Amino acid sequence: MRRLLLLACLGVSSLPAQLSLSVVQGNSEAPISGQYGFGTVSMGDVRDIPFRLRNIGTSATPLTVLSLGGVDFAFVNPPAVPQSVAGGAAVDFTVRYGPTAPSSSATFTADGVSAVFYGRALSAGIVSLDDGSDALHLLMADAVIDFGSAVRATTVTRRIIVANPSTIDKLSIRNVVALGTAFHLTRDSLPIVLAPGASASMRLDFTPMSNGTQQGTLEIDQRSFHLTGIGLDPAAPIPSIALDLPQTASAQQGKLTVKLGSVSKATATGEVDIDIRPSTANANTDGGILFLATGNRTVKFNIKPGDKVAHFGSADSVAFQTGTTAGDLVFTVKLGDATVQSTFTIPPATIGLDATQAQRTSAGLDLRVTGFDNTRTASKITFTFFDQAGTALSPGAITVDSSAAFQQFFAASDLGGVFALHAFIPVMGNPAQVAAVEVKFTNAAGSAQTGRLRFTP
Amino acid sequence: MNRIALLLWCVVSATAESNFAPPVVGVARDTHRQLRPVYGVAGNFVLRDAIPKEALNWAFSGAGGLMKADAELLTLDSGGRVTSRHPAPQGDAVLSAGAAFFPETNELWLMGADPDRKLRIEPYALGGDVVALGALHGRSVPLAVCRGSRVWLVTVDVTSSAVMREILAPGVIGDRGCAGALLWLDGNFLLADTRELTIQTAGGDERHLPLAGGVHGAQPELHRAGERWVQVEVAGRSPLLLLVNSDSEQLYRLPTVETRP
Repeated sequence: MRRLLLLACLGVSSLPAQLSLSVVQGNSEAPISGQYGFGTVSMGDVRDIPFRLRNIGTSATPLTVLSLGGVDFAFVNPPAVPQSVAGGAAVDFTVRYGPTAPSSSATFTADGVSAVFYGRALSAGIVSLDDGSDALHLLMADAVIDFGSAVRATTVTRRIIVANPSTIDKLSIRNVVALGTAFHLTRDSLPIVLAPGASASMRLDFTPMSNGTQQGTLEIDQRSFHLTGIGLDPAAPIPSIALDLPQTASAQQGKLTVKLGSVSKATATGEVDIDIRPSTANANTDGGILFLATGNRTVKFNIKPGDKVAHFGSADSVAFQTGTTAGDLVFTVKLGDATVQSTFTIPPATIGLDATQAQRTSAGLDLRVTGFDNTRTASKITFTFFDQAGTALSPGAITVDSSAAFQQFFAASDLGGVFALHAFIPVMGNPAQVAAVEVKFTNAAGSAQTGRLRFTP
Repeated sequence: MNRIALLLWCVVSATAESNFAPPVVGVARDTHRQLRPVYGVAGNFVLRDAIPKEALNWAFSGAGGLMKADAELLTLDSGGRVTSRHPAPQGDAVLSAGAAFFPETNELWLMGADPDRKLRIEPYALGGDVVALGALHGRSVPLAVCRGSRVWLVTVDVTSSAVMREILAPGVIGDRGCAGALLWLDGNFLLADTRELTIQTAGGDERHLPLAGGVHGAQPELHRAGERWVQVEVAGRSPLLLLVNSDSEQLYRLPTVETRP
């Protein structure tokens, strides 16, 4: 018994080396016994089938012969011969069937293996692509016709040539169609009958109406070809800036419009920034320079096909404030690859007086003035008080040098040049004797004076 | 007189060098319905931190004001800061900078009076809906009351709650004042409807400003926002600030509150 078991084991471990032919189907192998059909292939097309020769023995075997006898069949990637195939190992190769006749066959031979490959051909035209280059490109079934990139709503054209390879028979093409919204085929009416050796040319257009990859299919009788192309957004027009400002001055609210150099074909988002280049060296932050729609110095806009101006939300313009700093206000529009700037100068000005209030109390006089100094050079304040008869009270104009106080205030402020002055003036005696006051502010641009402010009870 | 002048010289010299501050235009309600102090000058506004409550209504005179939140009445100082909070009837109220009328309870609160005073006004005495408050003057306060389609000016004695007198509001305010938002500002009336803003001055002059561009049919709102400022809110439009001068008005747009990431 022991001897029998030993022999049995020896028998298993020494199976004779033998090659077996299979067709590879994904991750599995289907053995071939004697013959294999490649099916029906259009004339001018090819079909590639992967095969595998496996050594089903446990010891190595030589592979010395690998041949195909016949027409229309050929190895695509023939393995090296001779070689040794280890036990259990396999050799892969691909055979291509490219019919030139209605039917054909070939004999496959390897060491100890033989099979007949056969196939049938369908009468079909030879399909070529004319992409504008010097040579036509032969198209096999399932080939990809790539149109590349095209700006939206523009057209890229290719020509498809179908030729009758026969020197004897006419060829009738019954179905030619392009599928896919971006692709359009222009051809003669069907059927297209080609005399022997003749050809027909068809126009195939790619017109993307949206952005991104577009795909379609070209069907010519039983064959299909993949169509692909990329739709691109058109370039945005060159923008320009139009400003509507009542006065080129501080403390103004104006409107900015972004005009487009041409009617937009693009959908795009752009941005406008506003910035100040102060003309004074000691300018503090000016929080008043802003776009009203955002409350800051940047605002976005959109353009879409057909637009002549940009849209800020639903509006055609955006409002801004000029702030209270003298200098160059710089507007920068960025749209696509274009950057456009517009600058206007806010000139240095005398102090702008916004509101005044003069009140008399039993304790004295309360004076409030709000205004702005766009130069940050405010220096002197001159008060002139008047009695009930309109006569200036002695000693007349009282001038106070407030340069340091202004500078100290502006340095700590992020509101630009705006300020509120509050002066309470205690009066010994009867405050009613003081009827009015005039206040004059002086800065580097000159002097500005309030009207005569009457003290109210 | 020389003595006065000498004092002026000394005091002006001392005070003028130290009393600078950021100018407060007023307070305004932002698009999130929160009240914010507005700094700057006409045409140059900067909004600052909000009072973190929804403002149902408010009025601000420059010297101070009131804000009605859901169940509170807040008093504001001249900088728009909250100085006190008072539990108050739910819902909206009619406000001036120093008084609040609560339709739910028919109470009139006089804030800033010494002391604060609350009085109830009998509905039959009013005979309609209070739509605006005038300024407290001595012992009386005037109320604008809609009776039917007309506005009556009803003066109430704040010590007795009794109606002292009542007259039909003059001009267009009397005839059409109930058809829109009404604001009583230092003797001037402002009336906003869906089409325009009407300013009727104390002297009887009438001026008009168009209010286009809002949501169709939406009624505007008017709120006193500062000494000379009125906020005009039109649904679907950016908030507006109206500068009311004795002989003219000027509309400005209020900046949106900056959204920080």
